[in-house]
Amino acid sequence: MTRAAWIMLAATWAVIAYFTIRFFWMVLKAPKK
Amino acid sequence: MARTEGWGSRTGLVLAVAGNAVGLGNFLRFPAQAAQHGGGAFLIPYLVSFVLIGVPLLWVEWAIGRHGGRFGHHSAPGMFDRLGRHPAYKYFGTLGIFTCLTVAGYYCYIESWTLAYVWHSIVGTFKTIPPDQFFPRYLGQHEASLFALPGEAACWFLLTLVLNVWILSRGLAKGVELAAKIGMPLLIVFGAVLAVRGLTLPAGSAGLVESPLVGLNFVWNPKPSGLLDPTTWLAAAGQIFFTLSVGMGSIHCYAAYLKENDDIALNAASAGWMNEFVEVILGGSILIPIATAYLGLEAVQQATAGGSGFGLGFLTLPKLFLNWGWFAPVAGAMWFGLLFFAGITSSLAMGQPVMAFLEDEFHVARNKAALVFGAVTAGLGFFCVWLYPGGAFDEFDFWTGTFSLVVFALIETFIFAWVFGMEKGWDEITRGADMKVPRVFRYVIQYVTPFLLLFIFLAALVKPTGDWGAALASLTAGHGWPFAADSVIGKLFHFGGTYRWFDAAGRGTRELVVDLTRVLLAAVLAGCMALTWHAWRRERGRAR
Repeated sequence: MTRAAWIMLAATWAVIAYFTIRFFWMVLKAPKK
Repeated sequence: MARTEGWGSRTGLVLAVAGNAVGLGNFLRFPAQAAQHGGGAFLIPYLVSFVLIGVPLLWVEWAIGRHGGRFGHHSAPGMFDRLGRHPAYKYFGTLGIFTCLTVAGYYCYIESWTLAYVWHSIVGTFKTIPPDQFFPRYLGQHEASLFALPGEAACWFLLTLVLNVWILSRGLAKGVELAAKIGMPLLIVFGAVLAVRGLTLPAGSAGLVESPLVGLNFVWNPKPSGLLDPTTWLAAAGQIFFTLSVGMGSIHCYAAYLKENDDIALNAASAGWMNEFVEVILGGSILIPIATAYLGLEAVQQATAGGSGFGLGFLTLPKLFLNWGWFAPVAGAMWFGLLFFAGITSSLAMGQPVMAFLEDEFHVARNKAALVFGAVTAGLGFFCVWLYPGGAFDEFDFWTGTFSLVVFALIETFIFAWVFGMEKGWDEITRGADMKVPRVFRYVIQYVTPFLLLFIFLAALVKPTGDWGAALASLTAGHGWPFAADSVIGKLFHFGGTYRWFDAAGRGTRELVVDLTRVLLAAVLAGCMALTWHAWRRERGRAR
């Protein structure tokens, strides 16, 4: 793996994992209406 | 019509919508598209498209759905009828029934292959019959014949349909939602196991010719020149569009079972990002790294040259798993199992709007509606099974699984933003929201998303052979526009081949099958419109 490939992979995975976990956590924790 | 059906839990709803979006393309199409269009650089237009097309469309569809549900409509014709005063709007909504029905016809067939491959992986069929020989035999293909009569494939197809109808007949909470709650976690676990196993293959293992990281590098190594190529941007926008299952009518339907003040903004964002997680993190880490490890980079580059990993997924991977010893049947079952879960959560989402249409507008009971969906899907699916070698399947995929989605998304965004109005539209999206929706999306939905969708539509309409620069040069030099055979215009007018219905020996040709398929699809669309017309006429009669 080239350095550029690692950087792209790490940056993209970090963004996607962050938003996926964050939003799903908010769904789980949202108060019932 | 009073309705008691609804979602059992919010998590179940998000998993069901994510399951609708996660399909076979997440594992078979995305890695090939990324590798072919700039590698890591593809991810930049891909994520930009997700923000400018994907997320806005998700919010628009959830908003149209919840708004329509308030009036007792859980399918697109009724929902669209409530977006504006003109009686024609409900007919645009009919596309949301037509697409679900026709895509389900051929999609359930592919889904049945994955189920059959789970079975054959477990019983070890691929040890004795190489998958590339097994596949045409399974499909009943014979050289130079337009017809196929595959006994085994037909049986698995029927079994898959029965499973879909049974789950749908159990209702939303006990059927669709339960299937998503079981299928989605299993899909993620199977994907994670295969990705870890594939990426950590020890050097010197039997059959290994490269490190799997060479394959990962093929997917991720950025080629900055790709960013300047319009084809890369179009491919990225197209991938985002198709991966989210927007433009079908399914998301509208699922959202219609929410209450007036239930959140839609966070639910939509969560389901959308979950799809991205499965596609980019899992989908990008299985197929190409494993295939490269055993076949070498050059073979994988050739296999994915058309932007699809379908051949690698069905013809190559089952053979490569045999290198994994005792784990081979488990790996095969996991790979095709995850594809099956990806498929069934999507096909259920195609069935629900059709059932809702029958239940709401014709007061058909749920079990009966599920049976009607199963019967029509079986009819359309068997047409694809029978005429698969003649090109019926590809024709279904192009007109209903590709073209119709873009047209429907374009129409719905325009009606939502410009007819229903962004004032009311924004209120609909943000009402009851459990997250703060950035205000800039109001303008993105009104101006940017429709423009980009129009751009995708026009690009598909006049896609040239070769690159766009050369096509423009050809046009300005007075040589005309070189329409590609797979552009909408090229397809419509049968470019790139001799057009005739019968060959010299009087046998039907591929063009005959293609035209017969189009007649069938046009008849289904006309049928959906006639049913809509009939339902509203009957309702008007009752109101008098």
